[in-house]
Amino acid sequence: MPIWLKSDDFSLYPRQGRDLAIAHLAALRAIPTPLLPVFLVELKEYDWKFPVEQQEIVARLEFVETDPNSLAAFRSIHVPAAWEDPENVKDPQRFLAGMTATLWSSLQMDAYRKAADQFVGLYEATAKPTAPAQPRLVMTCIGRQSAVPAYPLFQKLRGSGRVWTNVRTNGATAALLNALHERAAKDPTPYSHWYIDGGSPLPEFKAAGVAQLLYPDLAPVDKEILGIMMSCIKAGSGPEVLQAKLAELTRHIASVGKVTDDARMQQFVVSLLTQGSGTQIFSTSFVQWATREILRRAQPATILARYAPRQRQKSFNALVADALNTNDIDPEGSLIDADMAAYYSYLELKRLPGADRARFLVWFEGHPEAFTAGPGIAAGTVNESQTDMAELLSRMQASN
Amino acid sequence: MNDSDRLSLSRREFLRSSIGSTAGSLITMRSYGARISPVNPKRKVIVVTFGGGARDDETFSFDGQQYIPHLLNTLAPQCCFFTQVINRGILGHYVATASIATGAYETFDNFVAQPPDHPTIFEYFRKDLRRPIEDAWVIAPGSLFAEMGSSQSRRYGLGKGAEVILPKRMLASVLGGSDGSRFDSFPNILRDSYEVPVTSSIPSSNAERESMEELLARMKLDREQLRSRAKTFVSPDELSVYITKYVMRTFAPSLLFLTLHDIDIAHSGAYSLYVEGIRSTDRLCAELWNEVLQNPEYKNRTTMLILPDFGRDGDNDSGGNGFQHHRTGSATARTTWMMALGQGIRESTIVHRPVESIDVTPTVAGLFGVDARLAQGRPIPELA
Repeated sequence: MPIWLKSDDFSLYPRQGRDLAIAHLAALRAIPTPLLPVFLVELKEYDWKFPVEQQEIVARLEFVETDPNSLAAFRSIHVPAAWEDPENVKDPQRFLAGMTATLWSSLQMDAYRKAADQFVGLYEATAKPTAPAQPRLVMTCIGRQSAVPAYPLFQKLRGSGRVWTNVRTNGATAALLNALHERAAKDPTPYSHWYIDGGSPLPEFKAAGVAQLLYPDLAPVDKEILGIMMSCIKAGSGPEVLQAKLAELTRHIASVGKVTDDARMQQFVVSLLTQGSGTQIFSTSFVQWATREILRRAQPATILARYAPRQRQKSFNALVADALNTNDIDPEGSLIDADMAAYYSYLELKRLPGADRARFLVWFEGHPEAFTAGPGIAAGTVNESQTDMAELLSRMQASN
Repeated sequence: MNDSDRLSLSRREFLRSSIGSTAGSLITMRSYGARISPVNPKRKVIVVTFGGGARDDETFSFDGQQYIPHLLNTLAPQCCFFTQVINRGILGHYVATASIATGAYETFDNFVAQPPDHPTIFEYFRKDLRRPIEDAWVIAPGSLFAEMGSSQSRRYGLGKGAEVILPKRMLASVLGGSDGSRFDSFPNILRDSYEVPVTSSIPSSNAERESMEELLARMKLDREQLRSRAKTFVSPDELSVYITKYVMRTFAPSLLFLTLHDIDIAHSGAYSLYVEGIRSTDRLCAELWNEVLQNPEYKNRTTMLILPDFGRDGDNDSGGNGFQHHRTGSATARTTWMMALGQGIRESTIVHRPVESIDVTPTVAGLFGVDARLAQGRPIPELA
């Protein structure tokens, strides 16, 4: 255990994270070394975390203070004494990467996983998660520019809700945006309502009260990251070099192709594009990963996520080189990607507090097929009667 | 019943309906032992890793069957199918593949090309049977695998294992140049890893270039033919299978180890490309088996083993991102399957008993009558 931890070790951390670490030094000293970097990463990034995440970090530290035995299983994991070094505290991301490699190479990853499951189970048994004031609603548009698919859509989802086969397309996007805007107006909590688009946004979209991620607008950050990747490819550098360079990028967020004045959002964007795999080259991967991370981290009340066709597959080097300048798109492949991605969003939504009240909708954009899940919606059913998006949303939100 | 058992049961139930197996054909070690025949000196063994990283969901589960028509309809009825192959080691492609080849869980850095610590099956095979280097070959997808033919073992080691071919590097060498500018006509097959985007296929040092030139000369490979054929391939694995067939026709080695890797495009997060990789790998496995049946040096002498190096993270594993990675170490990522077919294999049978991926090397050693003395795995009695 890192009984050697002291206040000075956190001198390079941003202010709020540093103060929190010092206030909970006793808890941190009780954390077995294999787990320590996980807590340190959260503390170093604490100032930019979403409010819900900040509450959870504090709650977990307090839980460790109250019940240090909850970490007992981690104490049977043995790592080299070299990790007991205050220098590691300064760069927790590198500490975490190194510890992960150590756990894998010493064949202790299964033991770590088991210990983590046990700790999370004990923590969640005492935690009091806060469900949102209004039930969560996630709306997803897939298949922009796609023709009718060669396979039945929503295969993974249909067992969890209802497939609609006759939804009028007129007014559908307006209805989705109305739902987003109305919910944002009703509950102005920051980072509670999101609009994500893999391409150009819907013209009627209004940003008031809504956090937005528009993939084309993130090009300044993406360009910088792709530039680093290209330089590593040309130099024949290894993955450690690439990782170190991307980590360096996250330390100087303010100077990385600024896309917003909100430091928290800027940090979030950089994290999506540096830590997400494929997010730099495929808009579909970006929208999926962004939706997942928003759900996991911000625990919002509303998301409207809209997929756009991604670039067609090429050699990796060409994908990186052309990522920002290609017109060669793959709408059919993108539909398959987004269909699966919608399923992953549903799984993530069901992990959040208030999952039993959550509503979920997917629409094959420009086509009459949709899927809904939530309270009062019979699972594994198909409805062929004609309806429209406003009615669908109204029904979903009215049911208990 | 644990998670691995559940995955295994799902595969078994599905296969039973697809290949006509019954509960009676679920064989036991005892019932199968009597079928083992004496070692045939002309025996050939081909190990194919259905890589990199394929889940049950997209292969032998009910939903996955659509992606593997060749495995299911052509190969499964001829095979002995193992429903529960567990990889307890590091879930990185190179280190896991090397572990299959050594029969021991290697623990080196997956992202550094280096010889494994334990002796490989190629070394056991060549030393015990006094076979020349042309009798054992590895065809591998990328630079990281360059040194998996021989181990660091003092008793075995460098030069005593298999010849390793990296087809992309070979093609790059044939095309010439070092800046990649001449590769524009081959956008798909010179694709590099999506997990380690900075690994280059291009031989960069003089020593690497000379070594590749020597190999090309030894193989008597027609450069122009390779260049023109390569233009017709749509993926790196097609190139690998082409080279494998060339090696079979030219050298007829007794031991071949082919590592396929198209599936690993899953790391890009595009599900359509991942399942397309599985479809392509399925087709290429059948194509290779067809070569075995057509080639008189291999027909009726060959045992072929097909297995993924490992799976990928499960959809319900909150620590992962579904099919995209293999980072969590969950049962879905660790538990896969294996098909054994050909010489000495009882067809249309299913083995539910768990085996490990490191059991492959002791098993292959048993087929050749050699001793994988430093392997940690155990021979699979149903096969060796």
